[in-house]
Amino acid sequence: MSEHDVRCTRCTSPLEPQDLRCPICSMAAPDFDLPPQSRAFSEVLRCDGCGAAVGYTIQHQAPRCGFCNAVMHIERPEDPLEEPEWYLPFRVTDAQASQLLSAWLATQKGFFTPSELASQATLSALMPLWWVAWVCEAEAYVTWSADSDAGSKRAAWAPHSGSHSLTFRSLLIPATRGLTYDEASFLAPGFDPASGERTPQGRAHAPIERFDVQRSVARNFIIQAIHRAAASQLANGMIPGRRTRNVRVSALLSSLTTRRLALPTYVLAYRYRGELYRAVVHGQDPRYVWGRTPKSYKKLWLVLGIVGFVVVVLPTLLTFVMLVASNL
Amino acid sequence: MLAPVAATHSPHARDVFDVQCQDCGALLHLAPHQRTATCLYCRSPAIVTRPSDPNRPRPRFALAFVLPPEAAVARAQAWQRSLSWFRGASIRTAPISELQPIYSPAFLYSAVARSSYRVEIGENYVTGSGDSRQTHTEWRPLVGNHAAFVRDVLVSASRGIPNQELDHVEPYDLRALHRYTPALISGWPAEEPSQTPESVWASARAEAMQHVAQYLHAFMPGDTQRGLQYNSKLDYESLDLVLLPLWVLPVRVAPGAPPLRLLVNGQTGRVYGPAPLAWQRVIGVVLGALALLLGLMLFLMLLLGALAA
Repeated sequence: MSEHDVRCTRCTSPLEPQDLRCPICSMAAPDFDLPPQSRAFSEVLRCDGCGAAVGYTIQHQAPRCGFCNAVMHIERPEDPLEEPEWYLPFRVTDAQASQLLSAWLATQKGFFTPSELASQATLSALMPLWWVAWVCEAEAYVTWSADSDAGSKRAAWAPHSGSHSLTFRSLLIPATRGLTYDEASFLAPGFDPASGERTPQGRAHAPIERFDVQRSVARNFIIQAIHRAAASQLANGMIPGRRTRNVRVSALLSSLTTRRLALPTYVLAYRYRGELYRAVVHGQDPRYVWGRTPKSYKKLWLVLGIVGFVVVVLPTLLTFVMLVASNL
Repeated sequence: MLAPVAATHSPHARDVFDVQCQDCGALLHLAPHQRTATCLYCRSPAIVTRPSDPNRPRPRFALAFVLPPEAAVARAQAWQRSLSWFRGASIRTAPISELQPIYSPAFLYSAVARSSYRVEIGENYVTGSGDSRQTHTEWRPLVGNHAAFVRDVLVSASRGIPNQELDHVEPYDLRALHRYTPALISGWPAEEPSQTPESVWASARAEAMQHVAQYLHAFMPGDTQRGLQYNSKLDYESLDLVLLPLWVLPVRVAPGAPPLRLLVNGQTGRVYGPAPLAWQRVIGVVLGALALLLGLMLFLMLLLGALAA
């Protein structure tokens, strides 16, 4: 918990020192109490430099002295770009990452995957980096409505509704632009948020991705992500039926805390028959390796040929044979 | 640096203050609705803080003017040019250059809304195929609850600018909200709230209920819905006074009639002005068209008569 532990009086979410209002529920932040005034008084805003009376100017977004051009400082609403607070350490070495990629390539045995992939692929680049994400803890009172096949009659769908209290612990919300959403979602479960350190350790030259959103945007993004996570949880067992659609969720969030993490990952490029393919290896948990694999065009053409034969050539031949047989 | 100066009650009216200008010594009168004043002789700005009064809370937040006067005038003139000839001449020819800035007081309301609802949900299904294919709707009852935060409801605290008019120039970007400080309004006209918080509660709740109705309509599943009935309760309400930047031009359409107001949002430049129809012109055009038609018919009849003869 931070030194500045001020919480919203409505939703009990922690507030940053610069917050004027709660970013979750818009309640005004607890303010210093102004002493009650028993008498009226007027104030004149004076220039710190020359003592002349000054007024606010649109051009400077602050009071400016018309005599000495001094611009007075006023407290501005702070909406800084987010920065990582915690850096999770690398636990997988470069050599291990390279071996993990080779081992993963050897496990790619899909029908369309070239059989010689593991033996012919060569590592072209290996880049350790930290990508960024938010980790959230929150309580939520969630009300929902949805269509599902449970209880349907003539129509395939029937409406349902309900409410649940959900708790989100260590919910990881990717903020990266370097990794794809699928890559980040795949890697997310393997991180140990408790292992965070205040400074990046072990990889002096590894690039650290930046959050490229401001705090206000980030908070809206987090709230939307929690709504999506709630909808996903509800669709996986809380809404009756096997199929669902139109899942609508309204969540009253409380005690939302957010940490900004930098997560260690290797991005690798391997070459197969002149083409480059990308893979990612988890920087902490060696079980998570994922990437793109080439497709065997021979097998692809073979399948297309068989399908073409079955769909076009075979019926034509059969028709021809039947015509000949009927003429005989 | 703020230099406090004692203000004295004027003997001629309650809440009217006499403030002595600290630069030239002139005496300024501040009406009950004024928070700021500028000396007529030396242009020195002053900000008045009145005695604590529960019916007149102090501003908690303020949004600064962003739109300069030239831009406000340009926006208003563009709006004026877009008006048709049938709109009142008073608003079409109003002297836009006389737009005046004001920090208008408003209350910022937020709450937790909990609702229970009952609705009929329509689920579509199809019968037949080809030309006999028909879509039917099966109606199913649904009862449930909904809970949400209602945020950022702005309600005018000024009798001079009714809430409906303020609604037309919203939204304001509340991310730019400042903690109120006299530095933001120094040298600019600022109004004290003329509506008490108690009188604003009803308007704020009514507006919050409109938000709840929108939430509920969007919350329903199915292909269609009908007969939505709901009961909502607002909890954890909060009401904070905020000063909003506005450019205002009062326009008097007729002697004795209340003036209309042209408003320009001092942050976004959104313009609102009531543009009543000039009925004399509408009636004149209709009568002219009828006379023309009648004349044409008469001419045709005469022509046909002449041809027949």
